Amino acid sequence: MARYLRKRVLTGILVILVSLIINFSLIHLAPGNPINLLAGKDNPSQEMIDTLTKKYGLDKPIYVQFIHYIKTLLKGDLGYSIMSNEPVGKLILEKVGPTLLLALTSIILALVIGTALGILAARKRGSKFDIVMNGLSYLFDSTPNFWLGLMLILIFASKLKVFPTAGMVDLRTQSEGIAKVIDILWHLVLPLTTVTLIQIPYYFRIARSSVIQTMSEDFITTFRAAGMKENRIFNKYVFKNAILPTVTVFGINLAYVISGVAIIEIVFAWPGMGRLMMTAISKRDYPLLMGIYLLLSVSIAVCMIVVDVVYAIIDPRIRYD
Amino acid sequence: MKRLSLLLVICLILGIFTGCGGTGTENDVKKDEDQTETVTDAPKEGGTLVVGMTGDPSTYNPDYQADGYLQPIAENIFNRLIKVTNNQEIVPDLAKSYKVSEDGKEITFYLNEDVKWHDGEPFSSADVKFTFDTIISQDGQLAGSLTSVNEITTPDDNTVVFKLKDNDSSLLGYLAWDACYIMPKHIYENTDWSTNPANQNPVGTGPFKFVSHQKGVSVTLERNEDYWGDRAYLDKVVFSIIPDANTAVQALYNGELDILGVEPPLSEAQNFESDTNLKVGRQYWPSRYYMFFNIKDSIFKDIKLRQAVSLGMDKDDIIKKALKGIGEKSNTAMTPLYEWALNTTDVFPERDVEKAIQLIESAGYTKNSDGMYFSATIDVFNVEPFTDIATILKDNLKDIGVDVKINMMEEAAWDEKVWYGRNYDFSLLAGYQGPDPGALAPRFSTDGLINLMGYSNSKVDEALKKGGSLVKQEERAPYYQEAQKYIVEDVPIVPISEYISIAPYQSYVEGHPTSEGIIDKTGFHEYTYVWLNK
Repeated sequence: MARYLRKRVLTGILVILVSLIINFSLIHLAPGNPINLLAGKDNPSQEMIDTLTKKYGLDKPIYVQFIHYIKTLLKGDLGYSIMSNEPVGKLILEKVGPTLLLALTSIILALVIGTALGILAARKRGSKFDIVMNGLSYLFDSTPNFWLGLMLILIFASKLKVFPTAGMVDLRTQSEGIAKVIDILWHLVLPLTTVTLIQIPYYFRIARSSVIQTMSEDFITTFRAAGMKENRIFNKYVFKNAILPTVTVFGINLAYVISGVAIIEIVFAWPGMGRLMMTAISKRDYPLLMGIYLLLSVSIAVCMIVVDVVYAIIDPRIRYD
Repeated sequence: MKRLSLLLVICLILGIFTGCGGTGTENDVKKDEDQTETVTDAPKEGGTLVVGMTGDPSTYNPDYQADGYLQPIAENIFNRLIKVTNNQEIVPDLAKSYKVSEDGKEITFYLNEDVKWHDGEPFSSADVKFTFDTIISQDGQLAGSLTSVNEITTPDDNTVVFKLKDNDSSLLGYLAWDACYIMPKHIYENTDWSTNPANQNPVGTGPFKFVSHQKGVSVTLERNEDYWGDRAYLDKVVFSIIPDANTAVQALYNGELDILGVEPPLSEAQNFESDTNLKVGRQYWPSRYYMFFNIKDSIFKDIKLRQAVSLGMDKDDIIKKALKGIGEKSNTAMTPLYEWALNTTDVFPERDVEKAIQLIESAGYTKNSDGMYFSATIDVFNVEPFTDIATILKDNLKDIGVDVKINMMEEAAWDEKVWYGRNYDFSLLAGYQGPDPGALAPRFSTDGLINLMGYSNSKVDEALKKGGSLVKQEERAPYYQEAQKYIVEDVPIVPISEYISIAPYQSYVEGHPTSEGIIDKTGFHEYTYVWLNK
């Protein structure tokens, strides 16, 4: 196991390095640059543009910039944001909390609800419940998340006035302590519902199809023939087999959701990292963008390793020796 | 769960129909009850005003770098020497008065006394001199517009003299506009003004003090109790950061915002008018939507083609469909706001399809098998309403046999291709064209900074130079009118519509910057006179 882990960590680092190279090249090759935006349009003198370009090292060839970036990165320094002049690490840290709160809560809810519904649908295959749930899963799977978000705002905030439209806290009351926690949770309801509803179909379909597949295995038929009760067969043999693929999806999805909630964060004015990323893209803030991408690739790599380990724990057939 | 999901689907479908139709009757009834006349004449002190905003300011040094998100905040934290109001007039700010010398080469500002910085330090003419010296030496945003300044002197603590190389009648306008807020010398002196910690914790002289900035959430200001001018009524102003304008509009409907504060989607504008819970301010800017041609290096080098496109454009159609009626047809070469210098005789012609086709044919073009004379690409950035304007324009120009290809791109990419690269056929833009007719110069003079067209007409250069060098309006006017005549003749641009901002706010908000009595006192985002009538 230890040898396997070492190997996995090394591949993980390689993946991160390759993704760094690709990201660095892509964002530097994209049209537009931060200096134009920084200098403003009204009267940027060439002198000012040259000074700024030099200040951020953008006058050097791209490979030199990359080597410089890696060197400072190895010292644990993510650099400074071009737009705000603040350390990238600090900017990201400020935003990670709200994003994790939204992404993690939604993914766990989607996992539990989606898997439960999927298992139920599979066990009642062909029933009305199964048909309706299948239909809904396709509906929500094909619904654009920002649209769903706006619809929830229209209904529950603007019309029914049950939940707040935007933000994380009520700016008028600016409560503290427990009241603040409740306020945040209250503001969390609509964005959380949106992200969860969009994700449920993944887990639903994975759980449903893997339960159906396991139930049609020969050994299950043997159990049935031996007269074992349906519930016992399910609880003891089907369930464990069926949730294995869900774990894989969970790992991949976690990293995806952390970056994918960006649009939802914008719709609901949720102060997370996604929004930071969108601003960094539109302002071509290279160091900030690289910092965010680095965090994403690290979290994907880590998630994949964790998934492999969890696999081994859940499934005794898998051993990494 | 099954029921819940079904209910949700039904709600969503209902929501599409009801939600898009604006406000419901039930809400309207409630609104009327809410509005039971609590109107009092005397402004009430206190309360927190929540204003929407689409992004975080990256710095609080308004003179150093361009940052649209800072502008509404800067107006409340800082002061300028003089400021431009919503009526586009220049009024005193830190300078209680000013005097321009006979030859126009010396402007003397007399400053208000007993002005204090938010940290308690006294303000003086030294701060003013420091600010402008720094803008010039550090290439601040406004440096390009201060080239006429030779020297700034401070005869005493309350007097500042700008000595100019040449008379520059546009200078006062620039000093009243953005990017020249007076900064505290005692904090910035001998430091790097791009990285000074005060850039994240600003100290100004304005009606509100900076309290905190929670990234992505809000910026909070509180009343400056020791303000030297009219004391603000509000205890606090909180700028709530909502990146999506659609969400901000819903937050306004839901009462989470007092003032929308952001440019609403134009399609919403009609709904505000019919909502009795809201008042709608309209702000007519010296800004306009216009189309411009690459005269130097594109098919539009040929003036006949430019004239044809100008004749083929249906401005009424664009205003109706793309701007949803929020606009006013532009036919003059300059914003009509500076009436004293406006040329209303030489104007861009009305739509004439036949004449346009004749012009194209006389330029030697013949129809191809698709019935088109030529094709051209319009580069637009993917921001509303520019994308809609381009679409309607494409349709308009099809009538005169011009095949328009729309190239939509991200703003940063557009900047690189059009603004800096000058590699385009034609494009669309809007932008502030004030605070004085002198703003024609950077756009239309040969070496103008915003002359993206590559336009060059020595007569225009001459007229604009003359207009800028004289002092009195009646002397300047003929030169600006002459320049406008040539611009109409040469068609480097085609103006489409005047720019009108829609500013909705809750009906209990009094003293809004666009309201009567205040409109000639403050800028668009200054909340000194706002109070909450509830």
